[in-house]
Amino acid sequence: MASTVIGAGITIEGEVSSEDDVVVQGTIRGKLHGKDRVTVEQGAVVEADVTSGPLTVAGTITGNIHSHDRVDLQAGAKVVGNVKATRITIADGAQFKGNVDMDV
Amino acid sequence: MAQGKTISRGASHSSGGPSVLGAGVTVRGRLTGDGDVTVEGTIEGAVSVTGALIVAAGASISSEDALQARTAVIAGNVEGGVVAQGNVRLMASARVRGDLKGSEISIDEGADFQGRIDASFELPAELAGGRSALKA
Repeated sequence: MASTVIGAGITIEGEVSSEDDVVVQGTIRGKLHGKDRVTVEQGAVVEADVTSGPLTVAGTITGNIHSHDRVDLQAGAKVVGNVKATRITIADGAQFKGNVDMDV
Repeated sequence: MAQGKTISRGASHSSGGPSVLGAGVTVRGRLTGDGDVTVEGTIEGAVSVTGALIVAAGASISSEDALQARTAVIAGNVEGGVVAQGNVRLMASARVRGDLKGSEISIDEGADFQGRIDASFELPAELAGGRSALKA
């Protein structure tokens, strides 16, 4: 289990920074800086620019994403914003609007 | 009064699942919502939850407003006070600056606390009538 879990009932308005893994099940409005793995689960809402290590999304992100590793948009994910990452997968059933920059 | 030495999570959960903010986490802003929350990291801002709030040893919360929760167990550093519907417990490692309010307040030996305590409770029968009842 990840060291940090922002539960489904929780809303954070502001800036979240984490050195360790983060699982988002609730809502974050503001900024999310993760140094390690970030998982945005189904039902989660992130209205924030996100920096992260590996990022897995099954929920909703509105904001720009900058991962220094890979980004996986799973079925059910909804992402509006630009993605900068070394690798990206967009699963069948994921919704995505924005640009992809793979830093080549 | 709770006497256990371990920090246990609240027995019941509200609609949200339990949340943990790990030791490497810093939040600048407001944290609100349902469910139990365990804070091991740092929060600079208000906290208001409907479930149990646990501030672990080594954690730090500074807020202009008092922290709001159903119950609160504090083993870390809190600036800004605590308001709970239920119990507020300061563990031995707690350092709290601010007022405490709850149905029951307990402060373990070794806790560092500066502030006021506001606890509503029923007086024992022999004290309920004031001084006249004591003499009777």
